Amino acid sequence: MTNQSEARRQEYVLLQRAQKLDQTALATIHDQYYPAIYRYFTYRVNDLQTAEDLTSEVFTRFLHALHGQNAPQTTLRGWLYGTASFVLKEHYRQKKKSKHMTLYDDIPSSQPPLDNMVNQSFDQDTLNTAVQNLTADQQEVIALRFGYEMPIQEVANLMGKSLGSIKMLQARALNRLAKLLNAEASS
Amino acid sequence: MSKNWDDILITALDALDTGQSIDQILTQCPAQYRDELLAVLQTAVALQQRPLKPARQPQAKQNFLAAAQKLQQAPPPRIPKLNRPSFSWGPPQFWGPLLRLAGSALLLLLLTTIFWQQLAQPFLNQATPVPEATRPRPTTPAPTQSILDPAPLLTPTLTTTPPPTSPTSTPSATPSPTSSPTPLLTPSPTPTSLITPSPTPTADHNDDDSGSDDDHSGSGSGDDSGSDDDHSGSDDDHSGSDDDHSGSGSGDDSGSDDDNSGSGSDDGSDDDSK
Repeated sequence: MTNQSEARRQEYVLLQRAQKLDQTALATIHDQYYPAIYRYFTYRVNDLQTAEDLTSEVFTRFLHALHGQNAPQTTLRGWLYGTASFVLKEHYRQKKKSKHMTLYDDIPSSQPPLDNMVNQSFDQDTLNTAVQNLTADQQEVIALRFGYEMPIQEVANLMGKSLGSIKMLQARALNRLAKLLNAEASS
Repeated sequence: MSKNWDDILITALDALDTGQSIDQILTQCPAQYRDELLAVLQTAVALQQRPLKPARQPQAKQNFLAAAQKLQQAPPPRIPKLNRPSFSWGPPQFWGPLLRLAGSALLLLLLTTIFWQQLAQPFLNQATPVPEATRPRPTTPAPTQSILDPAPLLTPTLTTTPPPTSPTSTPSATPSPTSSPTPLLTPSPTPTSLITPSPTPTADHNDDDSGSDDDHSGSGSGDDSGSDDDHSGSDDDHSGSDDDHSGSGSGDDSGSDDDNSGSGSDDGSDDDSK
């Protein structure tokens, strides 16, 4: 309990400094939340590039919110999750509209080595295929719990459900994922 | 079985959250569920320890901080003033309320006009025929008359309205003042044809009967009350009046014939006998 209130106080102080566009505070926020938001996106989109693009978009919006009138006032974690969820919905909407994408060959790559990416991509594909078989609520719970690394009580608060139902959703989602991944591995 | 398995799963995942190892959790689980539970717990641990690092995070962080620096140097976003006066022709404290008042008045006028034309007028036009349906129909209805044009029907009720004290007066007289006056006051030839049916003249003569009955005390018709005075003078006048009232009822005249057996000269004697 004390740890939680201390964490909230630190987050509040960090937010106050960030509202003044303090570079150190902004760097801390980026280090702290960028990987979590990225992991959240990796559970909800098919490829890692898109996940990273969407994560950068969340932080761009965070900056504009700080500069404008919509800056988060109390909780940074919740605000970032809300923005991530909104950006994800926008992404799906755009994806529905435009089915074709232009590929450019002449852009120099700044990516890590290809073999790492292939391995990651293979895992990502397998996992994504399995995750796609879950219900929307189950997907969201898995993304928040294992991607965003959010405590289960906070997940319940954000999704507007009881703690028991979130636990049930998580248990059934993991049970289903285990079966699907085992079936994939055996085949 | 299913509920039991759900409970076991939830308990096991709670234990995993609190930091217990998989082996510890499995020892507390019934033997028949251990294999399945092991698979689920391994999946959960694999997801927790997923080696997934954003490849472009350093670059993204640099871009983020650079953008923040640019924003810091940029002027704060302008907030548009909402209550800036739009006129400079005079003191705003004078023009502002005046224009607002004029605008409100215009709007009110417009709304009233629209209301009257669209709502009230059709309502009144539809409302007028309602009492017309309740009143007694004339014996000779106009065949080409439409329901939506009540003016010719209502016109005679205004022009030939009997005094309201009459007990047998038609109820059509009451709704006519509420109707719009313009179509009712226009004279038309048709009203006269509508008056001619028998109920209307009898109403007039019955009014006279109330007085004439006192005079004649037994005579059925009030027609004679007025004509009797004339009879006393000359029979020629009486013959003319009989032509007028020939349709009004032979029964009435039969009663009066008794009284008038002595022709016009009996007027005085009848009054005396009574």
